[in-house]
Amino acid sequence: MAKTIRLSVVALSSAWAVALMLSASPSAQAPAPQAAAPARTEAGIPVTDQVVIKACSGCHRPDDKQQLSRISFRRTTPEGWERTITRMMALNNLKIDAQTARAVVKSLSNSHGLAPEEARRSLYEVERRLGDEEFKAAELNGTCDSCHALGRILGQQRTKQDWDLLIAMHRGWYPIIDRQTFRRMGPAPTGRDASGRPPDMRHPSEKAADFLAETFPLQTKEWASWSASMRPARLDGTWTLAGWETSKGPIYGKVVLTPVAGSTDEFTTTTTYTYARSGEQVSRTGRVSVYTGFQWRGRSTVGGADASALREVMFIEPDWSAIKGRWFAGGYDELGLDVQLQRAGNAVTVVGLDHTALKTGGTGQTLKIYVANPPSALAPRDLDLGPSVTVSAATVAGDVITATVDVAATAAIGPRSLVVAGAVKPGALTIYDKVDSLRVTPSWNMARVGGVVFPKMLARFDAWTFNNGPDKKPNTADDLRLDAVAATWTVEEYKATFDDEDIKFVGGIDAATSVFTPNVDGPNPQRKGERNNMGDVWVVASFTPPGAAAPLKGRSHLLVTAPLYMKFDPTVTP
Amino acid sequence: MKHLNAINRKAALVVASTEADVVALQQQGGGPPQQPEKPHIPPGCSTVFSPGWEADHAGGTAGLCSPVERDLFDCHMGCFWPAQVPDQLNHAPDWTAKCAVAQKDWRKIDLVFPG
Repeated sequence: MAKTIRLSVVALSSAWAVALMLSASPSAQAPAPQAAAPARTEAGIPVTDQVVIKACSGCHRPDDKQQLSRISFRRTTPEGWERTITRMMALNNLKIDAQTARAVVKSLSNSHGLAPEEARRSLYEVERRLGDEEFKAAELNGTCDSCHALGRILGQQRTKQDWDLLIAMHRGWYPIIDRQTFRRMGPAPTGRDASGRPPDMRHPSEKAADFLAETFPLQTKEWASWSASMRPARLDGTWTLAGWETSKGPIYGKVVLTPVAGSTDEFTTTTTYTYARSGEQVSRTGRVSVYTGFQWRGRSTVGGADASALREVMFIEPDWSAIKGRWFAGGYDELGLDVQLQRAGNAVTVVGLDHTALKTGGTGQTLKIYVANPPSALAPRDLDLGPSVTVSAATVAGDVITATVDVAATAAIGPRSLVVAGAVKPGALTIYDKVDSLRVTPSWNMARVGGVVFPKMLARFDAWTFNNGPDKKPNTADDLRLDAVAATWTVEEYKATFDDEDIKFVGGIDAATSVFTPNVDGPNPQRKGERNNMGDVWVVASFTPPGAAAPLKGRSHLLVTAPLYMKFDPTVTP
Repeated sequence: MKHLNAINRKAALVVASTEADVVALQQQGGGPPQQPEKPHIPPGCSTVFSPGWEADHAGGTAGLCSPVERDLFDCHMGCFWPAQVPDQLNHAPDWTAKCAVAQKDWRKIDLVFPG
């Protein structure tokens, strides 16, 4: 069983240090410390679990409504609650064993958790995905996002008073934060705005708190509805697995969930899947705990080997029909699989294909179709790919159907549904006449130097062929994404600074697999100014389509940057 | 550059930087842009501090403090990057105790898992 709490390599703070920090705060800027908490104006959520009360009420005293201070006025993800417990251990001298901590996280995630609609907006945070921030709010610019991914904030619901207390906590622990982000530096605004109203005199942190209290309040109709009907998710049974691992392509298989005896929200998992591109087969076993009725937190290994462990963070659709998420590992959780599970049922179901595009005028093209509950026998007529596409042969072996397909030269290009023995997979593949361009995903990526003291953060890429679509123009809405292809990968200079020669120092990319491995951390005496092996480069994919004279190229901007010297991410696993 | 000639080293660099870019040429005519459309700032990295920890205002590394070890003591003691570098006040008061000169002794500092 995985360790839930990471013990911190830190020393505990003391009260005098906090007092010193507060007294050192600029008195002209900071409001007077609160002698006592103001009366609560919003109702909290009672804590009734004796395990939580026993573990937390030494400091968080209950009131006459069974509300524990702070705790009753906040809802968040399992990771949010775990982060709080580890902070209490590190900074507030909490003594708690791992088993009790797990029980507290589970209990609070159920009683003070998020509704599915609320959890969706911060999935990228708990699934540890790298990408551009999609949530935009001017009120949070330069405050929360100065240090945190916004997902950390989007996964929380609090009363106004608790948002204020959260900000006060930050000011207490990090006094410099006032000057960095929380307080307005420079002259106060004067005059009136265009509508004649007086200027907004609030400091940035006050604007943020007001916005957060209004946007992410403790009490919501979503939570009222979900918490009233929440029940253990009945997930036992067989699920089909369709996934994608960057640089390795599609994976297909199944997951069998078995309830853990005596538990309604824990399961053991037996997972088998195949990499369609290479044929590599993987068998994993693991354990899953479901939080708040829909948050899958699991860990699985190949034969119990820790080196093969993947953390599993998934979102169970409220109707229990599908489960989506990410399984990941790596020094920075950067090596992951995108995974989607669907109930296997009893009927024939198309899980996925080994490749997703067929060329017009091509005869004898082979297509492997991964299915659940395959028919015992199959004839070519049981497969239907639409007009102008002929199936000349089809065989079934295990869960894989191998079809031989001819596409007429006059076939219309575009997405096609695939029908297998009555089971329809909409838009399963694309008919195309020409590969027009190559694009690399993700369009930007990040690696971190490491390997001496701190871990390396690797980066991986996919190269996708594209057709310009019916309008014959590139980069328009009707462009057709065809297939991920086996490209040749190189690194080229990104011309941000003359003569920085980043490509000599940042690391190297595997020409076949697209795995970029950054160079070591630490100053590099070989580099001008003993700079680190950081830099930004182009990752370039090169691919020559069959019959083409010259290779197509696509590229992605890769940032090879500094390590993190602290890792805040919690690891909620069963 | 048809009617201009570089007359010093820096100008020569400018000329060299505008040499034909195969990928960009392929993607002309509405394809994906040669340069990123906008800076991609990794979540959690803010350029408010100018530069941010992972990226500068342009989404690159040219503006970052490098070697980062040269500045680690200030980051630590001033708690300037409380989410990226262990802070002296709370989580790791002794983080640099074994590290007299970060630029030389950086191997002696540990990765910290705070609460």
